[in-house]
Amino acid sequence: MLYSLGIDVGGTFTDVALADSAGNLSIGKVPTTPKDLFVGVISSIKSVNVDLKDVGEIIHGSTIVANAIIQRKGVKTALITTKGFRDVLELQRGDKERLYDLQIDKYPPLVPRELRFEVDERVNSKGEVLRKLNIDELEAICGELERHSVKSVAICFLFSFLYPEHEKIVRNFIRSRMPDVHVSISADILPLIREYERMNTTVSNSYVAPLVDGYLKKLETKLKRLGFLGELWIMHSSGAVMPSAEARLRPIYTWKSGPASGVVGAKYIAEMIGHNNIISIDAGGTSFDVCLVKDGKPSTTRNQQIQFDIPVAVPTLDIHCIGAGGGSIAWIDSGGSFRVGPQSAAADPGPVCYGKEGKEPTVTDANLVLGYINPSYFLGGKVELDLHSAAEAIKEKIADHYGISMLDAARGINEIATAHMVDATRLISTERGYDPRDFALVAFGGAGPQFALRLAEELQIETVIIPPNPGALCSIGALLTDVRRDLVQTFLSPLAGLEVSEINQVLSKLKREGLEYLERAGIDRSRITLNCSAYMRYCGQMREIPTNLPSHRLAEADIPVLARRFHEQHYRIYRHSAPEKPCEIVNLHVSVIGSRKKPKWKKIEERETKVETFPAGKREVFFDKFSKYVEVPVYRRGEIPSGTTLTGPAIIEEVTSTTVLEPDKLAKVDVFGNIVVQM
Amino acid sequence: MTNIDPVTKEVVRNSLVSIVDQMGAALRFSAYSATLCEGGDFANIICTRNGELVCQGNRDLPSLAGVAYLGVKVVLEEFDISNIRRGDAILLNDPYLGGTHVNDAKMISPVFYDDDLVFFTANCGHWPDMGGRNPGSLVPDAVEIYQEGLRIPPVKLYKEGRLDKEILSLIMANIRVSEERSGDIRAHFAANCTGERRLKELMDRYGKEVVLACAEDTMEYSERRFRSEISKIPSGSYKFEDYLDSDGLTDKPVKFVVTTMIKNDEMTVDFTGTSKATKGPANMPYGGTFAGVFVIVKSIIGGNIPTNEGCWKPIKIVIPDDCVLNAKPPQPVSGFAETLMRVCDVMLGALAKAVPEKVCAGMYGTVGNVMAGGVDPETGKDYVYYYWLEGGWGGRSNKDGPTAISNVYSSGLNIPVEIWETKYPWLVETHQIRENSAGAGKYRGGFTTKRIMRLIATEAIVSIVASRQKFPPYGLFGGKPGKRLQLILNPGTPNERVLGAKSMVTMRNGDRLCIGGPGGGGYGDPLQRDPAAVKSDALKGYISIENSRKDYGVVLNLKTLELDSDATIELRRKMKRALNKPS
Repeated sequence: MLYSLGIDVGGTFTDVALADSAGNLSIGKVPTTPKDLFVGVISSIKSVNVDLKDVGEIIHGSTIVANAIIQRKGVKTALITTKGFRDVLELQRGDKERLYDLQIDKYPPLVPRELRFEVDERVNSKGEVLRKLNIDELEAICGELERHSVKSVAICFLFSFLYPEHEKIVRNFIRSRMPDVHVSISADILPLIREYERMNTTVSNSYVAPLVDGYLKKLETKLKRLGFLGELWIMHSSGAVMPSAEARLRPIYTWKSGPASGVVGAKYIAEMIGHNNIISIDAGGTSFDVCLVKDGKPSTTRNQQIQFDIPVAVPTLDIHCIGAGGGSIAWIDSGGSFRVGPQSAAADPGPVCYGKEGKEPTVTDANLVLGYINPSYFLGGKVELDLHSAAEAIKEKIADHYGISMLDAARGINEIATAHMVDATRLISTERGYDPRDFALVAFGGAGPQFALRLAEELQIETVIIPPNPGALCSIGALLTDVRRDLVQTFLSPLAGLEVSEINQVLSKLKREGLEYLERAGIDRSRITLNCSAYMRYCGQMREIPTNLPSHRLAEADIPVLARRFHEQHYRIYRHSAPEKPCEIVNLHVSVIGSRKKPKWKKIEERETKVETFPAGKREVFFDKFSKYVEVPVYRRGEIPSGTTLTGPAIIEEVTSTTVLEPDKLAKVDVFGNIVVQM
Repeated sequence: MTNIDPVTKEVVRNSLVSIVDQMGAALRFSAYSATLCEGGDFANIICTRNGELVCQGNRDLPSLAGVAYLGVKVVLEEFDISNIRRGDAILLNDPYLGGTHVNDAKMISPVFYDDDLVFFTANCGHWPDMGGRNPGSLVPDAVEIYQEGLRIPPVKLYKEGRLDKEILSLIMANIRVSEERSGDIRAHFAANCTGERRLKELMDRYGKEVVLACAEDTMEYSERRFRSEISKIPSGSYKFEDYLDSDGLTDKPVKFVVTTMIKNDEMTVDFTGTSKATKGPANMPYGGTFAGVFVIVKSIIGGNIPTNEGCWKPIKIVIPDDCVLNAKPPQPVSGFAETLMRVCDVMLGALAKAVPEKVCAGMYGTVGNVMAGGVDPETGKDYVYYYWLEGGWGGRSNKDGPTAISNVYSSGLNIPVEIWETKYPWLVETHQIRENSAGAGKYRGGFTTKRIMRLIATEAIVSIVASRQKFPPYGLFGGKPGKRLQLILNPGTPNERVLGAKSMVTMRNGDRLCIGGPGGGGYGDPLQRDPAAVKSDALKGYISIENSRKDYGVVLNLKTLELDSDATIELRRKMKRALNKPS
């Protein structure tokens, strides 16, 4: 029997999901081993008891890229750029992470000044060569690279997205002269206008490429030795996968892979039960990640930064992240305001109730006090939580300060955390022109299902879906990904007077590249879909927005349609448009998606059972609606047959999470094991 | 006041700030001007119906938040409240009505709930041109505001949701590149509508009274914290002075004096002794002075205290009637941004004496504005560009100043070179760190940008409004001043010419303009700087080997850049002796 294995290496845990062809799923969770991720990965595989000979494919996501950049632990990297511009990397965009702060510092560039080299060459904004590349300078630069023992090089020239030849010449020169050094060029990594964003993205790629290459090579060898003969796929930030060989060349595309696979999992599960429009929320220990999926397509963005003013402009699912999770700390600021987060007690020291070193009350402590979490069934009972210490900490640090009861303080912590989550969800919905009421809420992560119904109520969302194994959805999502590549080319042209043949030429070049890529990855033509879009704006405007293009060759008649779509899109996002004004194209995007075979989702047996007869237990839980603790039934999720309807108030427990069913709400367990609540 | 629990207070306060941030996103991403969209030169706010500031956003330009706030005050004075309707939006840019210069346009909208006027949403953004004599509307030698552009008193540009096309066409007929501005106006309006929509939702959720009470509470909270932080500053009177190179017309320096008095939990900021209003455009209306004082006080005593009406209650500002900091019609104000820099500089210098660990030495101290306008040969259309400098801040009590960061009252971003060259007929030849620009110190200042730009069109009219060409950014506690502003036309050619910090020049095809920004001042004695840090700076080429010896007494091997410790100790001893010798 052939299995699929999804492995997601997170900051705290390495999650693994194993699916067989009949749709049986096993889940594993082991601690991440930051010093050598590899150790955790292998032990996660062992945790699901599978013989790698029987595994057809492994889909792997990790935080290796983001961590290496944030901790500045990449390899020694050099930059080669246009004469006069080596400091672009350090000047950055000049803005400040915090206003009103005289003690502020900038994040240091990934390449120090002594390793930033300039070459005499210049291309203008029309792609014309003003100064030819001076090849004679390259020998001396290579000498310097050797002297500094540089391991990796990034090349970024001005306007190389219009004229990549100079970058290619330098790349070839270095490759032939120093074959062991990694070289990335910006025309390949990110052929888009805005030099700092392109340069930093290219530099980031070079900075981590040898690390990722080494890691994946080692992983491939080890897996082979353990009998694995299948395909190794690597998750990337736009919620899809790339072949391992590709990830070794363009690792920067993988920087936000974990959260992205969670969204893919949420989307897939919601689609199976007929929901194309969802808001996915993932609340873990430290963060709350929220993403909007419209018509089955998660929104993507290129405006992401890995640290302030350290942009990584590769396509990334537009996941908005705030510091609000189970570990978020409740505190009182120097002016007496009651705050929750963004600091987190994370896994170490963890919330007070973990009984480690944690002294600051957290959201998890409050939820424990309120009865949402079972002290004896955390991670399936592996950890016994200390209710008493949690209550003490809340009393001492919060309640006593305000002269309120410990219970009111705990309620407050929960409510403030909920409000942060509501604000974050509004940001990606109402403020981008989407009405949350048109979406279903899919909640996962260890803490997501504790907050889901409250969020839905605040946002007037009608349907809440809580997939099975919510704490492991990222690794499950990895199993459900497609192969995808996003190609982009800057193409500045006003819509009026646009030469259709020119745009078709660029589009077909991008499509060809994409198709070849999928072919190399072994994807059959029949499984490929293409999405084309133009990033457009009003002439004179600075920021562009994506507008869908038909995937066929464009004809003159398509142009007015495109204009109309742009005006509509602009109106939807900003609530104003100017149909009488001329607009223009800035970039052309083509995504090629090769759908992979996904594991089937096994239906659980349907039985008409009165579940009220078999709760696993009862406990006292506080609900705002009653303003007091009430005794409610507690169910073990794995024991609930499909087709069952539960009535709130109730608690539904499982190994990786706890769902809080608010009073009067009806939760139906569907044939796939999802808890679906119609609010 | 309704008694509100701490949880609701926190939730509503966060929501209010989040609403303003969403207004900012609406403005930024749909605006046309590079200044708004790439530069982020704007601010959004919410005020109560009485004009009290409730909050600003997390990314809003600090100085413009104060200006938008004063705009609301003006509307309350100029308009009969009963005459304001739902969907109205009032536009104004009059510098003397709580403003700065004509480029900063404000739009103010009422928020009604159940037919009651409850809040105002407002924003202020920098428009690259407002008409007047020079492209960009900054006129380095103006003698009255009429040369600087169109002055708009509060007018209802939107009436019950509909744009008044007559007013719009009056404005458009008087400014350059007007097409861009009509897009910006829609973006300003969209931002206010976003704020209105979200405020209504918030009041639906919590009730009008509760939201108002929370707004009131957050103001009291900020006042309480401001007072408590002010009272931690040692009471006393702290004085500092500094100069602006000139007013643009004469060579006479403009003097700035501040005496900051701390008494218990209150602060009086007295500018008595500062130069009188100038004939040239060094003047700044009260709005700018107010914003500058506030920015520095808040930066020193608590950046995380919410910005609102409560913050300025414990602060009193005294300005003589006839003063460069109190511009009156029709005094020219084009150079206000430089004057504002100097207000920040003297405020910092004075407070350095009270709280040396909380300040930095002199910042680069100039916006370095270069405005150019002409015809783009590609399109045959007019263009106006607006360039500003990011620069080095002064050294701090325990670390160097940051390099190339926007000034303290701004939150702006630089405009990418590739965007620049796509939009304007200019070629940027270099955009780099200006080496050796930082002032030496135990903790040196940050470095500033140097840029060379070449015109590739027939002709352009270039106006420059900058400073720190004569009076460099100051050092503190033995730190050295930063390098002065460098402004050169056609550097390295026989036509090379140094331009004045406030000047105007007509450039021809192929002419090059070099602007090298002043660096931040140093903090503490440079001879106490860690030699390893000096070596690292030399290795990176931030400073020359000569400077490491001359400024820091650090001896490096010319070839290997290895530190010669013995020679360094010897040289530093010698330099110290020379310093201590009575001259």
